[in-house]
Amino acid sequence: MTQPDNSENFVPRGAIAFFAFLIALGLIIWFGIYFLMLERI
Amino acid sequence: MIDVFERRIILVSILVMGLFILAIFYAMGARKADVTECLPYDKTYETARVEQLDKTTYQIFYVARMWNFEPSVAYIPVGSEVDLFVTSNDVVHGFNVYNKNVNLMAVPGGVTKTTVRFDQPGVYKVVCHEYCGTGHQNMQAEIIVNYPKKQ
Repeated sequence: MTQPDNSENFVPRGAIAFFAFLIALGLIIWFGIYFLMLERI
Repeated sequence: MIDVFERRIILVSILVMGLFILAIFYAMGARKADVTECLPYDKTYETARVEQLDKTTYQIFYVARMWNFEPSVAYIPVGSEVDLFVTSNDVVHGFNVYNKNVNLMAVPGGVTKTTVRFDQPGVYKVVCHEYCGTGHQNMQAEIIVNYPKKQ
Protein backbone atom coordinates (compact mmCIF):
# COMPACT_ATOMS: atom_id res chain seq x y z
CA MET A 1 0.00 0.00 0.00
CA THR A 2 1.48 3.39 -0.96
CA GLN A 3 1.22 6.55 1.13
CA PRO A 4 -0.95 9.38 -0.31
CA ASP A 5 1.17 12.18 -1.77
CA ASN A 6 0.48 15.30 0.33
CA SER A 7 3.55 17.24 -0.78
CA GLU A 8 1.37 19.71 -2.72
CA ASN A 9 -0.34 20.84 0.51
CA PHE A 10 2.69 20.70 2.77
CA VAL A 11 3.05 23.68 5.16
CA PRO A 12 6.26 23.79 7.22
CA ARG A 13 4.52 24.69 10.47
CA GLY A 14 7.40 23.55 12.66
CA ALA A 15 9.93 25.64 10.72
CA ILE A 16 7.62 28.69 10.79
CA ALA A 17 7.08 28.36 14.54
CA PHE A 18 10.83 27.93 15.12
CA PHE A 19 11.61 30.95 12.92
CA ALA A 20 9.03 33.07 14.77
CA PHE A 21 10.52 31.94 18.08
CA LEU A 22 14.04 32.90 16.98
CA ILE A 23 12.86 36.32 15.78
CA ALA A 24 11.01 36.95 19.07
CA LEU A 25 14.01 35.82 21.14
CA GLY A 26 16.36 38.02 19.11
CA LEU A 27 14.05 41.02 19.58
CA ILE A 28 13.74 40.45 23.33
CA ILE A 29 17.52 40.15 23.84
CA TRP A 30 18.38 43.03 21.50
CA PHE A 31 15.79 45.47 22.90
CA GLY A 32 16.48 44.34 26.46
CA ILE A 33 20.09 45.52 26.10
CA TYR A 34 19.02 48.54 24.01
CA PHE A 35 16.67 49.96 26.68
CA LEU A 36 19.17 49.15 29.45
CA MET A 37 21.79 51.22 27.63
CA LEU A 38 19.28 54.03 26.99
CA GLU A 39 18.59 54.21 30.73
CA ARG A 40 22.30 54.68 31.38
CA ILE A 41 22.83 57.66 29.09
CA MET B 1 10.19 32.15 -8.67
CA ILE B 2 10.69 32.45 -4.91
CA ASP B 3 8.66 30.15 -2.71
CA VAL B 4 5.86 31.93 -0.81
CA PHE B 5 7.29 30.95 2.62
CA GLU B 6 10.73 32.08 1.58
CA ARG B 7 9.32 35.43 0.48
CA ARG B 8 7.56 35.91 3.83
CA ILE B 9 10.70 35.07 5.78
CA ILE B 10 12.72 37.57 3.73
CA LEU B 11 10.04 40.21 4.34
CA VAL B 12 10.00 39.58 8.11
CA SER B 13 13.82 39.72 8.22
CA ILE B 14 13.85 43.05 6.37
CA LEU B 15 11.20 44.47 8.73
CA VAL B 16 13.13 43.39 11.84
CA MET B 17 16.40 44.80 10.49
CA GLY B 18 14.55 48.06 9.68
CA LEU B 19 13.26 48.15 13.26
CA PHE B 20 16.81 47.77 14.63
CA ILE B 21 18.12 50.56 12.39
CA LEU B 22 15.24 52.88 13.36
CA ALA B 23 15.92 52.14 17.05
CA ILE B 24 19.58 53.14 16.59
CA PHE B 25 18.58 56.43 14.89
CA TYR B 26 16.05 57.07 17.69
CA ALA B 27 18.76 56.61 20.34
CA MET B 28 21.20 58.86 18.48
CA GLY B 29 18.66 61.54 17.53
CA ALA B 30 15.86 61.84 20.06
CA ARG B 31 17.72 60.45 23.07
CA LYS B 32 21.08 62.00 22.10
CA ALA B 33 23.11 58.87 22.81
CA ASP B 34 26.68 60.01 22.39
CA VAL B 35 28.93 58.17 20.01
CA THR B 36 32.53 57.78 21.12
CA GLU B 37 34.92 60.06 19.28
CA CYS B 38 38.63 59.68 18.59
CA LEU B 39 40.28 63.10 18.78
CA PRO B 40 43.60 64.22 17.29
CA TYR B 41 46.31 63.65 19.88
CA ASP B 42 47.86 66.54 21.73
CA LYS B 43 50.40 66.59 24.59
CA THR B 44 47.97 68.58 26.75
CA TYR B 45 45.81 65.46 27.15
CA GLU B 46 48.63 63.88 29.18
CA THR B 47 47.88 66.28 32.05
CA ALA B 48 45.13 64.75 34.17
CA ARG B 49 42.66 67.35 35.42
CA VAL B 50 39.04 68.28 36.07
CA GLU B 51 37.80 71.47 34.47
CA GLN B 52 34.52 73.25 35.05
CA LEU B 53 33.14 74.97 31.96
CA ASP B 54 29.97 76.30 33.56
CA LYS B 55 27.66 75.46 36.46
CA THR B 56 26.68 72.04 35.14
CA THR B 57 29.27 71.26 32.50
CA TYR B 58 32.56 69.61 33.35
CA GLN B 59 35.47 68.10 31.51
CA ILE B 60 37.56 65.33 33.02
CA PHE B 61 40.87 64.52 31.36
CA TYR B 62 41.86 61.02 32.41
CA VAL B 63 45.32 59.56 32.03
CA ALA B 64 45.52 55.78 32.39
CA ARG B 65 48.72 54.04 33.33
CA MET B 66 49.79 50.77 34.91
CA TRP B 67 47.84 50.52 37.22
CA ASN B 68 45.74 53.53 38.04
CA PHE B 69 43.70 56.32 36.55
CA GLU B 70 44.45 59.93 37.17
CA PRO B 71 42.48 61.77 38.56
CA SER B 72 41.62 58.88 40.86
CA VAL B 73 38.69 60.79 42.39
CA ALA B 74 36.56 63.44 40.69
CA TYR B 75 33.73 65.39 42.39
CA ILE B 76 30.79 66.35 40.21
CA PRO B 77 27.46 67.97 41.23
CA VAL B 78 24.23 66.14 40.45
CA GLY B 79 22.78 66.93 37.03
CA SER B 80 26.13 67.68 35.44
CA GLU B 81 27.06 66.88 31.91
CA VAL B 82 30.61 65.62 31.78
CA ASP B 83 32.93 65.30 28.80
CA LEU B 84 35.37 62.46 29.41
CA PHE B 85 38.71 62.51 27.60
CA VAL B 86 40.84 59.41 28.02
CA THR B 87 44.39 58.68 27.01
CA SER B 88 47.11 56.30 28.18
CA ASN B 89 50.73 56.72 29.19
CA ASP B 90 51.91 53.18 28.52
CA VAL B 91 49.79 50.32 27.19
CA VAL B 92 46.20 49.98 26.03
CA HIS B 93 43.73 50.20 28.93
CA GLY B 94 39.96 50.02 29.13
CA PHE B 95 37.72 52.69 30.64
CA ASN B 96 34.31 51.63 31.87
CA VAL B 97 32.04 53.66 34.13
CA TYR B 98 29.80 51.41 36.19
CA ASN B 99 26.08 51.82 35.51
CA LYS B 100 26.73 54.31 32.72
CA ASN B 101 26.82 53.92 28.99
CA VAL B 102 30.57 54.54 28.87
CA ASN B 103 32.93 52.04 27.31
CA LEU B 104 36.17 53.57 26.04
CA MET B 105 39.68 52.44 25.17
CA ALA B 106 42.66 54.34 26.56
CA VAL B 107 45.23 54.15 23.81
CA PRO B 108 48.77 55.59 24.06
CA GLY B 109 49.06 58.37 21.48
CA GLY B 110 45.30 58.59 21.09
CA VAL B 111 42.40 60.39 22.77
CA THR B 112 38.89 59.02 23.10
CA LYS B 113 36.01 61.22 24.14
CA THR B 114 32.43 60.76 25.19
CA THR B 115 29.83 62.76 27.08
CA VAL B 116 27.79 61.45 29.97
CA ARG B 117 25.17 62.99 32.22
CA PHE B 118 25.03 62.25 35.95
CA ASP B 119 21.46 62.75 37.18
CA GLN B 120 21.65 60.42 40.19
CA PRO B 121 23.95 61.01 43.16
CA GLY B 122 26.38 58.25 44.05
CA VAL B 123 29.86 56.87 43.68
CA TYR B 124 30.46 55.75 40.13
CA LYS B 125 33.33 53.31 39.84
CA VAL B 126 35.62 53.56 36.85
CA VAL B 127 37.37 50.30 36.04
CA CYS B 128 39.89 49.11 33.51
CA HIS B 129 38.26 46.39 31.45
CA GLU B 130 41.15 45.62 29.12
CA TYR B 131 43.77 43.33 30.61
CA CYS B 132 46.89 45.45 31.06
CA GLY B 133 49.22 43.51 33.36
CA THR B 134 49.55 42.04 36.83
CA GLY B 135 47.86 44.99 38.61
CA HIS B 136 44.94 45.17 36.19
CA GLN B 137 42.32 44.01 38.70
CA ASN B 138 43.17 46.91 41.06
CA MET B 139 43.03 49.61 38.41
CA GLN B 140 40.07 51.82 39.21
CA ALA B 141 38.94 55.36 39.95
CA GLU B 142 35.83 57.05 41.29
CA ILE B 143 33.50 59.75 40.08
CA ILE B 144 31.64 61.05 43.12
CA VAL B 145 28.36 62.66 42.20
CA ASN B 146 26.82 64.50 45.13
CA TYR B 147 24.49 67.38 45.79
CA PRO B 148 26.04 70.77 45.01
CA LYS B 149 25.59 72.03 48.60
CA LYS B 150 27.52 69.07 49.98
CA GLN B 151 30.49 69.47 47.69
